[in-house]
Amino acid sequence: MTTGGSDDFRASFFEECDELLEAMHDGLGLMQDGAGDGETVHVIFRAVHSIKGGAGAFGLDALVSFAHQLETVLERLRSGKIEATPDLLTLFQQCGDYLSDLVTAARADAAVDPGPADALGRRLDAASGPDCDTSEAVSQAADDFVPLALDLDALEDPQESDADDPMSSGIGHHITFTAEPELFSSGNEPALLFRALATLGPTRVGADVSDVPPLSLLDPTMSHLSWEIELDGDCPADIVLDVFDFVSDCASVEIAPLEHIAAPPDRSTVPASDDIAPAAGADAAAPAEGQPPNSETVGWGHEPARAALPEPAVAPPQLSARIAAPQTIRVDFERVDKLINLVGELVIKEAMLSQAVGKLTLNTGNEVLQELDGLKQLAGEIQEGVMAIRAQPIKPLFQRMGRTIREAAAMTNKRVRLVMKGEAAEVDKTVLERLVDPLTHMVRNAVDHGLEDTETRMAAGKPAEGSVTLSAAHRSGRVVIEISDDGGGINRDKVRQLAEKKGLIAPDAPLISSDIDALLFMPGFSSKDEVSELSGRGVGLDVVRSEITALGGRMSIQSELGVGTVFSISLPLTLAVLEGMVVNVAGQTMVVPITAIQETLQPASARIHTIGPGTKVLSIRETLMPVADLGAHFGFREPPEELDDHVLLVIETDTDRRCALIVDALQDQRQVVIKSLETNYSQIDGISAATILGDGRIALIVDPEGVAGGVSPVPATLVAPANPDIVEGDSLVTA
Amino acid sequence: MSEGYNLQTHLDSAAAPALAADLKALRGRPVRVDGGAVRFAGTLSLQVLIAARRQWLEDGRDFSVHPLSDALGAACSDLGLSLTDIGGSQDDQNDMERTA
Repeated sequence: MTTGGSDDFRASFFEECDELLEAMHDGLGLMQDGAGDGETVHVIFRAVHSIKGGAGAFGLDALVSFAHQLETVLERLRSGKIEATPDLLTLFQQCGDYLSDLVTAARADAAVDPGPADALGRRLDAASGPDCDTSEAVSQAADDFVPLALDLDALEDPQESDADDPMSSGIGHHITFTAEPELFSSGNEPALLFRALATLGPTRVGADVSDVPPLSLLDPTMSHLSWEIELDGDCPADIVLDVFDFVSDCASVEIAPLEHIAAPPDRSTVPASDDIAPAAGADAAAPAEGQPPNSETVGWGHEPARAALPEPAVAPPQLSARIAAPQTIRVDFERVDKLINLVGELVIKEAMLSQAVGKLTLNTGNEVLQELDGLKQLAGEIQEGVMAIRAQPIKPLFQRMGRTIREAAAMTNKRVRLVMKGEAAEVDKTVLERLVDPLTHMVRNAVDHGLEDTETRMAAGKPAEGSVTLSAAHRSGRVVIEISDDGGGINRDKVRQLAEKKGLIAPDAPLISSDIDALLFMPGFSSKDEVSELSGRGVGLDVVRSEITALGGRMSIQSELGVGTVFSISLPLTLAVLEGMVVNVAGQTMVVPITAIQETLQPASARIHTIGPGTKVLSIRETLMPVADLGAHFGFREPPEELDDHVLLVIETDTDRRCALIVDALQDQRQVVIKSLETNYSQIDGISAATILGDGRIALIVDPEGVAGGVSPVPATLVAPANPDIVEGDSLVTA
Repeated sequence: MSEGYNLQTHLDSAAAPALAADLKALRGRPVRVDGGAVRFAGTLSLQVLIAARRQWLEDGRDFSVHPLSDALGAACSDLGLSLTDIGGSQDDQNDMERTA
C-alpha cells in the first residue's frame, strides 16, 4: 500500500533504506569478521529499526513484519540475552539479504516470495531463546493500530488508575505532534505515522481539534489539528523519533518521558465539550503529579507544541548529531543529467569559440586568447566537477557481491570470505548499474571455478576458507576493478586441451600463457568439464567481456597455478565523454572510440590483397584481416579502388573480431561529449552515439562491434604469407 | 428537509478543498452526509467535516454524518478523533468502541 501522491517522499525513503542497508551489511560484516562489539549490534539494530519505522509510515506491512522479527532477536543480542554464535551471525546475514529483497520488492511495488520469511522467521524464533517468541512480536507489529479503551474517570483522577497499567509504572513517552501543510502536500498521513508508532508498544492517541475553525474560515490545505500520543514501554527516545524521521522537515515532534508529564491538556481550555478526543478506547494515562525541573524533552520541528509539556532540555548527543544540518543533499538524477548535458554544451561552445577565434589569426599574447585560455580551463573544471556529482562509491556494489558469494559458497559447499579493498573509489552511477551483472557472474565464477574445494585446499596447505577479493582503484583517469581469488589458478594445459577439442584453436598453435588465458573469453568456452548449476554455460566470460567492452572497458587476466587468479577490469570513469579518433570519411566527420583502435596504417606500406570482386584483405603479422571501407559501410560512397591516399584503422572488438577500416584522413584524437542517438532519434546499426564538434557540426560515433560484424570474414582457406609485410616503422599511431 | 450529500470513496488530502467547497454550497440548510461509501479518509478531509460540523453548530442547523463506513470509523480511530467530532452520533461512537 502506498499513501498515494507521495512519490518523492517514497523515493526518499528508499534512498534512506539503501544507506541503512549498507550500514546493516557493514555491521554484519564486522561481526562476521569478529570485529564487532556492542556498538556494532546497536548500529545494526538501529538500521533495521529505522527501515521498519519508515516502512510502517508507508504501509509496507511485509517489510514491517520481517524487520520487527529481526530486530527482536537483535535486541536480545544487544541486551546480552543471547550470544553471537556463528550460526546466529549466518542467520543474520541471510535475514539481512532477505530484508534487502523486501526493500527491493517494495520499491518496485512487486510481490516477494513469502517463503523465506516463514523459514527465516522460524529460525529467528528458535535463535531468540525459550522466553521470547518473535512470531508473537511480529503479529503485534503487523496488527493495525488498535487503541485501547480510554477511561475518562481515570484521566481525571490518576490515583484510580490500575497499578498494573504500564502507564502507571511511568515507563513510556509522551509525544506531541503537529503537522505543517507540507506534510500533506507530500502525501503523508499522520495516521500512518501513528500506526508505525504503535509497533513500538501500546499507544493512546488524542487529537486536539480546538483550533479547527468553522468551515467558512477554514483553509482546507492547512491542518489545525495537533495530537498527543502516549507510548508505553521502554523503547529509546531516538527509536521513537525515527518513526517521524521522514517528516522531520514538515512536522513538529516533541517527546518527553511519560513519568515527567504533568496533567494532560486541560479539557476545560477546549471550547467544545468534545474538542479533545481521545482515541477510541484506551486506558487513561496516569501522569505523575508535578514534574522534575530537569525533565528531558527531545524532538524537532518548527514550533514548540502548545501542549502543557515541560520546557525542552538539551537533547542527548546522538540526537543532536542526528538532527544537525545534513552534510549531503539528495538531487533528482534527471537534474544532474540535465546539468551534465548543459556542461557538455558549454564545452562544445567553448570549442566553437576557440575555432572562431583561431580564424582571426590573433597575435600570441593577445588578450582575447588569454581570456579564452581561462575560459577553457574553467569549462574543463566545471565539466570535471559535474562529472564528479554522478560518481558514486563502489561500496554498495561490492557489498551486494557479498551476498552472491555467500549463496555461491552454499551451493558449492565451499567456505569463502569476501575481502573488499578500495570500496570508497567512485564510479559513474550508470557504469555502476551496468557492472552488476558482469561482476555477479565473475564473483560466482571465482567461487565455482576459481576456488578449490576444502579438501583440495587443505591438501595443498592452504586455509580451508578460500577468499575472493574485490578491489577498486583509480589509475590514469580510469577505475580498475580486480576480482581475485586464492584458488588453484588457471590450468593452462587443460584450457588448451579443451580449446583444441572444441576446435577453437588449431592443434599445436603457438600460444603463450596470455594467449591461453584469453581463450577463456572465447564464446562457448568453459573450463569445467561439466556444466555447473551455479555458473552454468549459458553466460560465459565472453558475454561478461562483451558487457565490459560496451561500457568502454577492458578486461585482462593474471593467473598463477596453485596461487590464484586475478581478473582486472579497467573502466572509464564516466559514460558522458569518450576518447575518440576524429576521422574524415567521404566528406563526413566521424569518431572512432580509441579503445577499439589497435593501430593506424598507411595502405601504401601495407600489403593489401584483392581476393575477389571488391573484397580486400590486409596481410599483417602472419595473419589476414578483412578490409572494409567505412564510407561504403554507411552508404556514403562506393568502396575506393585505390587506397594510397587513405588511412587504415586496425580495430579489434570485444568478440575478437579484427578488421581494417578505410578512412580518408585522421583529424585529431580528443575527448568528445557523447550525445545519445537512441534518446533523440533511434538506434542505428554501426553507430553508437553522436557528438557535436567545435565547428558546430555533428559527428557520428562509430560502434566498432557493429561495423566489424557487417564485414565478411577472411575465408579460412586463405593463409597469410610467412613474411610480415608491415614493419614496425610503418605504424603511424599505436593506440 | 435535510440536504443529502454523499462522501466520495477516496478522501485524501487532495480531496479536501473540493469537499469543503461542496459543503459550503450547502450552508444554511440542515445537512445529512452519507459516509457509507468511504474507503479512505485522510486528516485534511476529516478536518473539513470537523469544521463543517462546527459551522453548522454556529449556524444553529443540523449536521450529521450517517452511515459511516468501517474505513471512515477506522480513520477517526487512528487519528484519535471521536466520531462525534465529524458529525457522527454518540451511538455510532459507542458501537465502534464496542467492536474495537
